[in-house]
Amino acid sequence: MKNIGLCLVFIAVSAICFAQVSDSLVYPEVTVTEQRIEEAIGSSVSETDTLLYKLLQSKGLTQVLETESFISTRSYNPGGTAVFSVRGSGPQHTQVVWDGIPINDPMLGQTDLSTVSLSGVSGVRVLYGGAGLTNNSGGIGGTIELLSTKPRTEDGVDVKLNGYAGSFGTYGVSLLLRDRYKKLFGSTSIEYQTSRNNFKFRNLATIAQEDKMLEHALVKRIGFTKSLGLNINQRNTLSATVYYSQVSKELPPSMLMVASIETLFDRDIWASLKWRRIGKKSVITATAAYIYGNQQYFDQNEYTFHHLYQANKNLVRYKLDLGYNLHFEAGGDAFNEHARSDSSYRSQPHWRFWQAAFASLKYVPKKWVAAQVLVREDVIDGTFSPFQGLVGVEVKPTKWFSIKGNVARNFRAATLDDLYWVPGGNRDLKNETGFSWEGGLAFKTGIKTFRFGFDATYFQSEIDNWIIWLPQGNVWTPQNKRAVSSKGIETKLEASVTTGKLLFKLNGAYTWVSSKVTEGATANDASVGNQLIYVPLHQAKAHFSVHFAKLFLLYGHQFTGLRYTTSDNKSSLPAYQISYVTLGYEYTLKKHTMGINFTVDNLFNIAYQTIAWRPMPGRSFLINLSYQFN
Amino acid sequence: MKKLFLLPLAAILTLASCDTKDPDDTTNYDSFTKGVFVVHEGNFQAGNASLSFFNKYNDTMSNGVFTSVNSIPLGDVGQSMVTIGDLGFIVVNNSGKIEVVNLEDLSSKGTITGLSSPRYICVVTNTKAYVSDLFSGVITIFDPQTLATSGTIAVTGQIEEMVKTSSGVIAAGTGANQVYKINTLNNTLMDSVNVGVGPSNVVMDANGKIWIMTNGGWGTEAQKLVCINPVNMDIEISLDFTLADYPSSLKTNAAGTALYWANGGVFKMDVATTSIPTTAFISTAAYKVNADPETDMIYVSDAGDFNSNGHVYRYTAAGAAVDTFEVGVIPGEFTFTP
Repeated sequence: MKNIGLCLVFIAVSAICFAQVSDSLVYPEVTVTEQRIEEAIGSSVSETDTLLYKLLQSKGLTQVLETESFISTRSYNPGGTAVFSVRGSGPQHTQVVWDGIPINDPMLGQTDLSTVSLSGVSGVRVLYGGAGLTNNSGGIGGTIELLSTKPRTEDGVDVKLNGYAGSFGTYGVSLLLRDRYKKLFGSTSIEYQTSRNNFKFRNLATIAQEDKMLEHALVKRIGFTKSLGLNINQRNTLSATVYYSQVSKELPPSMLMVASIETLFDRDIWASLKWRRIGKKSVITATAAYIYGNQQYFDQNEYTFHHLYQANKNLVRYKLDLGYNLHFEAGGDAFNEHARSDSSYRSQPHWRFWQAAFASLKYVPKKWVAAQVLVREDVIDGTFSPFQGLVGVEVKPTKWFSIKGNVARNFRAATLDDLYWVPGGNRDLKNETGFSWEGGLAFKTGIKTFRFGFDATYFQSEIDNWIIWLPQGNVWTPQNKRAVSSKGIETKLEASVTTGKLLFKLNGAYTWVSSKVTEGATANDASVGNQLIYVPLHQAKAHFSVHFAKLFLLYGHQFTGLRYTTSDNKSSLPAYQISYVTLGYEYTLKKHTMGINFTVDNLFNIAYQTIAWRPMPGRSFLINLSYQFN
Repeated sequence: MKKLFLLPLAAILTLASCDTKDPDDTTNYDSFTKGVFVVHEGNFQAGNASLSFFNKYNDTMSNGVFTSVNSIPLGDVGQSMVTIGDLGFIVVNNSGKIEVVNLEDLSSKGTITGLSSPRYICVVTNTKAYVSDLFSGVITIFDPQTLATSGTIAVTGQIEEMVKTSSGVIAAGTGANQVYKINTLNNTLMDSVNVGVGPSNVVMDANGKIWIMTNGGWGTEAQKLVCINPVNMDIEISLDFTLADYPSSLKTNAAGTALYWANGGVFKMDVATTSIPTTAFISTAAYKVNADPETDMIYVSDAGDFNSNGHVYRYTAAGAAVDTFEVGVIPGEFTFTP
């Protein structure tokens, strides 16, 4: 009862917060998180909006997630190493999947968002909480899905060419080509992007507080994706995709360092071969994938490292319509991971064999109620994981109102670094276990010229056996010594109004996340009862756009609350607000469409940091030219 | 009524009796000249290194004193500190610098930059000091008076702690598994000895012998406690810890007759003993330890979860707890004013 009251209070607060933001907003077409009956029932999902994704694609996955989801991100510099938090969890508690294939680095157990090229990625979807269990385990916070470019459905060719240039030596080009000839189809995408990131900032760490230029922050990214497919017959399809991405980064000094000549090179290759058979009432999909990751770090000293991991991942999914509105799904995974590192493991190779199986039953009638039960079990190197499961319900008593909820149990396995790091790796670590539940409501209504939607979700999760690295004398070693409790509210609002030839759109979101340590690593652990570091308690974002035929003006505004930088919450980074504006126009002549967008980022030239002592750029400009042939 | 009349007089007398300060006493009790500095490492790349000062005049601990006085952060990874005359030299490892402060008021005197990954300072003379470095492959020579660097001594691999002896400076060559002896007259390597994998800590005892603690190569072999003669660099004692031990922070007591180190708790060993104690002298969460050369009081730092404010515990030389202070993030080395 107390939680329901709290929930209502925060929904009200979020609405007020949104109203305050909306007074000063102006902005574009944005997507919204929408309950998807084909996903885990009763769970929250958000998907990128087409226009916003197009605008943000050149800025990378970090910016896409920061703008279009409830995820909180932080990076050392634009394009630099970036991590994130979903629902107050750590980056290791979120799985990143590409076409259903988990791609997290098994050594660190997470994905550096800055290394992901969005070449060949048509959109991004975030499954919150236990919603990702169908795909994978480990996503206690959630799952980020990278969606591949969809193939053409008709014979022919289409092309998208995009080029942009902006402040701080930023420019890039990307090309996407899709073609289909009868049973053969495919796509090719190439991306090149570079930015010197040589922006000015005020160095607050010096007595003079002089303005300084960020140095040694060059980022270069190359992305390539090739996909080929064959419709063998009406029922069977075979497709193969190769994704390649390489990022070379100079690692700039913080405000507290005089200089740096550190560099990091990252190369990722993901390849998949997929067979899909569509039966009368069933669909079976079998995927064989190869995942490769390589990081090379160099600095001015004698310290360098080379990490290499490879994995083959085989997944089978089977869906069957049982009739009576019942949908059965089962699947199995067989992963084989291998990692080697000259520094972390002293060149010793390590292997991990991972199998998993799940079964799900959904009741999805066309009318007002839907429900799902899912069970899952993983086996890692012969050891059974904690039992996982999800029970979800969605009720839609009217056309304009729905409620939803789920309860899930998940786990996260120790990473290979946790197990095998030399020195200090701990092979006796237990899995982290997570129990989560959420409940939400949604309103949606609209007439021809007006649409309005609002939804709010309350979530809570408890993670036990949280792994933390602590020193034993000189040596740091991971231990299962913490428990963390997270709860929060996610609210979203969207509205659009059409007046004559003008279309106004408004989209806003507010998140409140309380993620606190409930069990300490030591008797006097000062983190107990305190918010996890770098997890903002409050976050709000809104976009407002005005559209007139093919012309649009978009304004985005983002508020990130105070973030603590020490676990006793005695040090923090202040809250900040940044905004951006884009003016865009598209011209179509028969099959040719040309577009131009002009964006001003950090419109009010706000000085802010997402990681302590790491400056972020002030006001910057970007012009984007696009051509599309269809 | 009579009693009421006496009250103001009593108050005046009381106040007067509180002020026992000698009018001729010009001591600045708020200065940083008599006490203990606690250098806080802070988290790597988080820029939250800091400096605390325990004032022996009034037994108070002040935190964040460098930033309070100079209005800038100390830097990234506070490593160590020495005092030379009326100046303090704070080595800030990942900022590649040494902050120099006046001990009277802790105001900034200057910054020595151009260092790669500085670790510890060894004072050779009033005009010469050495700075060890993890990655540069050199020991840098600088003048504490002018703050100017004047040269380097080429070494192999990482260098950690150093100690000055009458026959030269002894340096722990962690990277090359060597303990070096440096001729301070011409700043060249004179001799070296292999004492085990990863020599890190070096101290000199009351007999002029050098005790070295190795890090064992972080698990490559059991850590060692080795005693050498600095004159001929002969190994006189070599003791092995077990593989389950991870000792660090080797220090001596005030007289130099006993060794202290941290290994979960605080361990103490008489220099005349030839076996490593198996039970802690002080059972407490100890990250670093040191003994006050003036009072022999033992200072112990507890870094907690290494991401929040830590604590400093004080003990008598007999190991009895005295008091506790909350300090900054990852309290590390203790530096005692002369």
